[in-house]
Amino acid sequence: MTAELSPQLRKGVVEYCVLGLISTRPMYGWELADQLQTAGLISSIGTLYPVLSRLRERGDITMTELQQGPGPARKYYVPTKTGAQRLSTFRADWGQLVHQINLIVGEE
Amino acid sequence: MESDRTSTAVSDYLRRLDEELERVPEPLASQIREGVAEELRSVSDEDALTRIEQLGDPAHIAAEASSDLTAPTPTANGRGSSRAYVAATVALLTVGGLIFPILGWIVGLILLWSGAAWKTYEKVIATLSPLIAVGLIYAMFWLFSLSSSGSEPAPDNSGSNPLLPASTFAHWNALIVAVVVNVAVAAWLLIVGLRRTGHIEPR
Repeated sequence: MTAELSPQLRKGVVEYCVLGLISTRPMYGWELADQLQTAGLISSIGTLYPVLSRLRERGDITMTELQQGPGPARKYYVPTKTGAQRLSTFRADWGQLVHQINLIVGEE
Repeated sequence: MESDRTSTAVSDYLRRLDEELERVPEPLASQIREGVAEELRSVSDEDALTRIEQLGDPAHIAAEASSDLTAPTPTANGRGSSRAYVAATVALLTVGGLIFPILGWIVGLILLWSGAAWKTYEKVIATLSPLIAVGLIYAMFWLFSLSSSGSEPAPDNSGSNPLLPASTFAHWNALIVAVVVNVAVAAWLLIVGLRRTGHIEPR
């Protein structure tokens, strides 16, 4: 992704990437931030929490506190039924979109 | 010694983060702070120091959070998501029923349920709140009449208006409560609707 294009693309898909990550198993903030940063989708943990906040306000995810191992309980995020449906719709739309874009701009 | 040094480093980092997050609105600032603190206190001393390095400058974290809030966010769109639609729906729900008794309120409800600016649970709350409030008022008067029917009336008629029959008093109370609840719900719908359609800034 070029520097000019990537911020817009990233902002558009990062919510769905969060839904995708937590659809496999509940994850806590640091785990999500780490994976999204590795993928180049967010630049810091400061970008993650506004995304989580929007997803919670929209009713796509819920948060639950779990005690696993030593240390304080962590807040884990899980998708709601609505969030799972939204992810499912996005998966179908995304495939079609990528296909259509590839037809237009071509693949290297 | 290592533990003390780590503890101080963690405390210092969280203090700096708190200072930087002062320009980030709540509850977002607290969520970020709790998320970072949760991680730093859950890992070993060595890992905590590594995490602090990975997290980077607290000013950058706060700036990223702020910039995300100022960026355009997805809003409700499609049918029934314009400012005029939201305003018309709220107006009909509040005063529509007074101008066109019952019919105005029903049209307001149809617009509410057809609009894209509100979630289903918000529509349910807006629809049922006035009805439940009025129901509660009548239930209270009914219970009061049951309890007072078996007892002697007070000699000075205290607690009731002698000029009004009890049913009229109940009707007036129900009407007032319905209007007050309707106005409160309408104000809430207006704020939620305009915020979601992007006409006012989110909190």
